[in-house]
Amino acid sequence: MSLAAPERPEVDLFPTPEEYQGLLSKRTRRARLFQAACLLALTVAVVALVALIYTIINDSFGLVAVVNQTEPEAVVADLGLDPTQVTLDDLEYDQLLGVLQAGISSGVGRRLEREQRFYADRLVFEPQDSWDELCASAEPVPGCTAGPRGHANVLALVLERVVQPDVIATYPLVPSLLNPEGFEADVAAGFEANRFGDYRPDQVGIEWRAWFNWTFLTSPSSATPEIAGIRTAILGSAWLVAITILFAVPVGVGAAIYLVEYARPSRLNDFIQTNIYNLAGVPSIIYGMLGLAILVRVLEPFTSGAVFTPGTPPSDNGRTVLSAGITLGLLTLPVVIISAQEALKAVPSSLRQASMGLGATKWQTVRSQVLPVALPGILTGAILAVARAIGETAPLILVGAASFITVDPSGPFSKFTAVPIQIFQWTSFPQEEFRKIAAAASLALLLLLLILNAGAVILRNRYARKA
Amino acid sequence: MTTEGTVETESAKPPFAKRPRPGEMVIRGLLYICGAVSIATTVGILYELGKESLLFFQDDRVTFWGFLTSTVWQPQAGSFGIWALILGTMLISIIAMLVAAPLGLLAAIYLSEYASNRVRSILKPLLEVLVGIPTVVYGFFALTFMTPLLRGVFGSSVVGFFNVASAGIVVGILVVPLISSLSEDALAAVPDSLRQGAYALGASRLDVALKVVVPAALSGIAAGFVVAMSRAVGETMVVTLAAGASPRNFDLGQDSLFGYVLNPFQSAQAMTGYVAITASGDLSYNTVDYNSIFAVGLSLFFMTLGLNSLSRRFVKRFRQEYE
Amino acid sequence: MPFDTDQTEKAMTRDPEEYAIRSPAESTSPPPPAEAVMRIEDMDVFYGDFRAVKEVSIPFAKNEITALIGPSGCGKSTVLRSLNRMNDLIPTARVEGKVMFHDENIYQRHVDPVEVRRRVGMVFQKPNPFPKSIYENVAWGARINGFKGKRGELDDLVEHALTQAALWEEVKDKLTESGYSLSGGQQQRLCIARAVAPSPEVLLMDEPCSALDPIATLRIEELMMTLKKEFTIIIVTHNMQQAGRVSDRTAFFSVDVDDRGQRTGKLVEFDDTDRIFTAPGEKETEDYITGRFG
Repeated sequence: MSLAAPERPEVDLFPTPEEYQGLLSKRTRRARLFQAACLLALTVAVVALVALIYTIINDSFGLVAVVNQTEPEAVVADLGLDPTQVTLDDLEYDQLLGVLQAGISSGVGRRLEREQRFYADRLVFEPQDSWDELCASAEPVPGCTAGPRGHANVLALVLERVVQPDVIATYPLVPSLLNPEGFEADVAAGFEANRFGDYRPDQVGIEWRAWFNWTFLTSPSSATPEIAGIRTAILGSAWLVAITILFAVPVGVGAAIYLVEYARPSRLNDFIQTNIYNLAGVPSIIYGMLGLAILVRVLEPFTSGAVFTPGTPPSDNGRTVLSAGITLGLLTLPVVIISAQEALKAVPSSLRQASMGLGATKWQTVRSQVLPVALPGILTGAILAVARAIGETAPLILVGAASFITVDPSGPFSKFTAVPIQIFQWTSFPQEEFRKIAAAASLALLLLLLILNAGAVILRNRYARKA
Repeated sequence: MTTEGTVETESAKPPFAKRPRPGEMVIRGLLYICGAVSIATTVGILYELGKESLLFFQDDRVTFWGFLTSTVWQPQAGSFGIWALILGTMLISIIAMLVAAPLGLLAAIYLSEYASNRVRSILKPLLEVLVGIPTVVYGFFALTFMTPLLRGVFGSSVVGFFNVASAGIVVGILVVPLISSLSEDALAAVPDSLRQGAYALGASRLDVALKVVVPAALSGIAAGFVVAMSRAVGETMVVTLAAGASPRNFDLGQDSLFGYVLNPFQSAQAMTGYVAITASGDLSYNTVDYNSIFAVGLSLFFMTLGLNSLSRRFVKRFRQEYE
Repeated sequence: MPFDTDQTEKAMTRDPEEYAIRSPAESTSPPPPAEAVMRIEDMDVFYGDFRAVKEVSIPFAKNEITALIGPSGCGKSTVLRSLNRMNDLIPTARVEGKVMFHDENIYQRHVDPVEVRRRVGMVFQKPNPFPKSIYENVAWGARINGFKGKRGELDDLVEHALTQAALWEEVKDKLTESGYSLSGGQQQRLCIARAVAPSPEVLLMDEPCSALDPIATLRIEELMMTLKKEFTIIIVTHNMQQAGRVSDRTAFFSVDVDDRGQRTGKLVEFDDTDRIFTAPGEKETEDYITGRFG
């Protein structure tokens, strides 16, 4: 009470009401500008996302200028059918095979048959006795065991070997829609500049092409972009994901349970925890190096499958689905552990106490009380981690994903390729058509990730409602 | 349940004696092994990178000193100077941060200080979508969208087909969500009472956001920046596809600093780009090329480890401030 | 408590002409203040569709301390926050009626809440210093409000504000240290210094002592008695004794519960503190004061 406040010094150093009004409107303006800047930043980020998706869709569809070695109409007409009524797709299996037989040399035909035969009960190109010999040898060709080719497969072969479409120019989706004449002008200009070699303008057909289509998803890879597909890559990615899940989810959840439920604070356990955070920040390419040095090289006998099948030649190497899957597993492990830890920590400790209070052991408590409650959270984290693994490219380059392979992976010891690897390869090629199928493959990958993320969101929402 | 029965049959023991539970021990052991896998991974990384790097330095053409000091990376000529690759990595990461830091922080401020719940619930998931897109797709985006855009704006004589700017900007876009979500967490953790205190003094929203909330969240925001930097340094696919495959060898005495050494419109290989390109070719074991990627990888590992530890230190400080 | 009687005596010896004394019968209608700096006129506050406070009218007299008391949930904090438009920060909040500051309704469309808050300072329930130095905590408000003085004059202002908050002696040697290095009571006085530095006319205090120990509380109460020479103070408090000790006038709020169970705060009685505590006009007030309710 005795503290007498000294007189306020120079009160008029504060702005007068008029000055304050001016100041205030200036401040208000600045505040609005700043808010606009913040909103702009956010908009830029969203625009970038839109631009990315636009680029991919723009390149996945559009007009193309095609030159066919043999016109499909001519093929149909040769069979005595009306080309205006019937297309290649409508032909019977036998008819297609006939077209193929007429269009390729017997040597090529034999090679195709050794990859996969055309009929289950008879041979088309290879004589029976030499076939039997091939299948009896130490290294039987894939055709000996695989089932016969289907309609789609032979149709693809007819397109590849007989029709032989050659896309000489492409046009992205948006200009194709807005300004199709521009493309014709481009093609004409290309002919004038002699860019299309021996082709004549009258051979060129301009048509719509969806680079992203069902055939693209179901065809094997090829050196020709017009007929290349990503089935091999999709199957490769599927194998990788399966192995990643089998490795990362049990080990990750186990580690999380140990750290949350069992570990007491100690130097070692603190170190494990810190180490997990550190591992989560290690660039993925370094995991690739680890996979290359240990799984591919040191553990080659295991990862190539040599130890499981005695007598395999030593040339087999460790660049297999198994090596790559475990590499991706190690890469996703920290993420799985951290998210599983979060889920476990979110389980109220009263639940544990109640269970322990009934005389349950630690593991009984964890298994019957804690895990069921934490499960949706753990699964959500695992899905998101796996979604990340599907898109990883760099580690796969290191562990030697084959850039060109047309044979589907058949097991953990197969050579393989994966969707992101295909995108990487095709993007780095100079030809425009490869750019298009890279876009189509990106679209496929994004759709797959969208499905996975939607699954995670649904799980999370269901979880949130229960909790 | 079983307890009573057990106690009766083992009546020789005192009723509360500790009973061995082999099942529990086995499970505990298994779980412990799961936890130890992470340690094994770290040991494996350090051991393999270290071993192969040692082999690399034992090669006649390589000297440790040259690796650490030279600015020329030319394996064919036996010149292995890491600085040529670090230059590429740094140029790309710095451009990325110049793009991502303001965008990410401003976006975070908008989300935390301005946006209504409804707007936030729409915009945040959109940003999260950016995180989920595979980096190889960003690489495709850099090459087919950003590079033509830059060449269109600045002229294709100025901007090379492979250039650092395109890669840097796209890596920047890629890390924006990382910065914005970590910064937003930090901003949201600033107690509301501080905002109220500032408003009650006659502060505008700008004053509150920039002079009270951001400074209070600074260490959390810094942690986000550092994590993003680490991510940019380790980013591989965008860099490999868009920045080119030849290292930018330089000589500070002779080369023009802005015309060549720091020129963002020409190509420069980054550390990750070198590793990826070398590994995607035919790579035989026990060659200098094979060993060199591990030496580069080890350098990369220490760089990112340093950045990550730094960021955790920031986070720790941030937590201490508010707990 | 010795200061209790001291304050009551002080309040009793006030000049009766300054505060027109009403007969008990008329006590529900507020006595006319000497000069009302602020005046709430028939105000309702809504959160969305929910009416939190209804039909409040209170004048706040210059250089007096007005206490807002009542059971929890009666909306007294809401009323306090409507006086400097802090409720604007809650997106769904809406004020109907008038809050006059001098002769201007602060809820008119053209009024900038930023200016309102500059002239009506506030101290919060829990001390909330900024994570800056002690000096910066005090200087910041003046600075953002366009203080024109040079460094030395700002130093004087900070010293003056800290002296007003009775904190100067304790912190004058560590002005560069963080505001968090102070004790809880010191932090609250720092917040008071911070609030008075931009030279507001009215000081709102939202249960400023509820997070403090008794000694720190006593210091703040003493401080309020000096501060009211320069400011008009409005305080929300849970603590009856505190209201009785420090305030000149008291507004008593309570809750109406409608048939749907919605609770709406209302003003029951506003009068001289002495009268509220010795001869309240309303039964409800008496029940609350004597502890029979709430």
